[in-house]
Amino acid sequence: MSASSLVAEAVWKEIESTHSVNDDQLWTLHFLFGKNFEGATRIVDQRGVSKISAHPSGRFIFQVTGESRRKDQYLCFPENFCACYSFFYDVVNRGEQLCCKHQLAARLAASLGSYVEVKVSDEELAVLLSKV
Amino acid sequence: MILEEMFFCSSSSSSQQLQPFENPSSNLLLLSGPPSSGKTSLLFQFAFNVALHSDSNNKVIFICNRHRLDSKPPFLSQGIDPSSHVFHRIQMKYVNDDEDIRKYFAAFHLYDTLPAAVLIDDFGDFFDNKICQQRYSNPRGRDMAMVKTLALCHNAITFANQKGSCKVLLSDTHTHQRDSPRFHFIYKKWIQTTFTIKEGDVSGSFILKDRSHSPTDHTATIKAAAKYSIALQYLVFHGLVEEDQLQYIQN
Repeated sequence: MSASSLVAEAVWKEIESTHSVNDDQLWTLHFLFGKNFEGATRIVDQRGVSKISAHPSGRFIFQVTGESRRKDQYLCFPENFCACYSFFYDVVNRGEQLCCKHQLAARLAASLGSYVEVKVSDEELAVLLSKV
Repeated sequence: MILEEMFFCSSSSSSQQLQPFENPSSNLLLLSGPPSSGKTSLLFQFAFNVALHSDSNNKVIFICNRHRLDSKPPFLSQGIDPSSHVFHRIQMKYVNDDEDIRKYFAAFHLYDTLPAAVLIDDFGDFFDNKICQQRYSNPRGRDMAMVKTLALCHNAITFANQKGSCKVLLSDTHTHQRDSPRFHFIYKKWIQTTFTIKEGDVSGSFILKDRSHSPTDHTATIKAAAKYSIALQYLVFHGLVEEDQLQYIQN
């Protein structure tokens, strides 16, 4: 893992343990992720992150509402996937970013517990995941 | 985990449990090598070894294209009895394309018992360039399909390992005889352990290398290597490469 990833991981763990975020942590994440983190905080503030959990298995995925006027929704695994174009082009293809703003929003919302909880059946989640 | 225990029929693998991976990111593995280097045989031997040592309820799933497997079936190590009960624990799943693979991992949480391992032979070949381009209306459609499939696979395995132990091993082909898999820039995002095959100094002999790399780094270190060959329709293990010799097979 790169130094940036390790630092980010340590900060996320701190936030997860307290379910709160302080100025130092916000500053560090902003330093690491720049404008993407600004976008992520706006999305979380607007309650734009949903956690879709399946019952009874407990498997889940996040759905993040984008900032564009169209309010596109992206399925997202915070650690390593988002269905948006930025993830494919900037993160995977060019390697210019560690992750996209939707992943950051999902990770921040998950760490703080500030997401909308959506319960679905295991079968419904399987259908949703197959459309990723 | 020792190469010998994973991919070959050895005295050690018959007497002791396969070692668990130290690192959860090592539950998703890649075997990469040139065409006709025994990848399917190594994959099938891995399936046999996992089935041999896992709980009898936990199957090993071998995903492949039926036509391709029928035309080039795997060779087994000499010590294996073809009528062994272990083969009943290996379940063949025949798929036609990348969508079939995604559907399988999307429904992973629906299975009553999760498999001990999932193996996918010739993973990259399931992604047809033209079909993927049309599906996503994008010239990079195949890459997009691979990204989605690997992400789903990773998520399914992470989920499975919260409940038990499950590994996924994919095989793919080198391009242009270079020592790195096709689509390397995609694989390295999700896979930190790659086993690469290099042709040996004698025709029909090969060197299998266990290399680990950082997902954000292009450098890889070889942790171990083994020599093998395909002879008289058998997979033959010739022993591990001594540590002091590893530096000579870095490339």
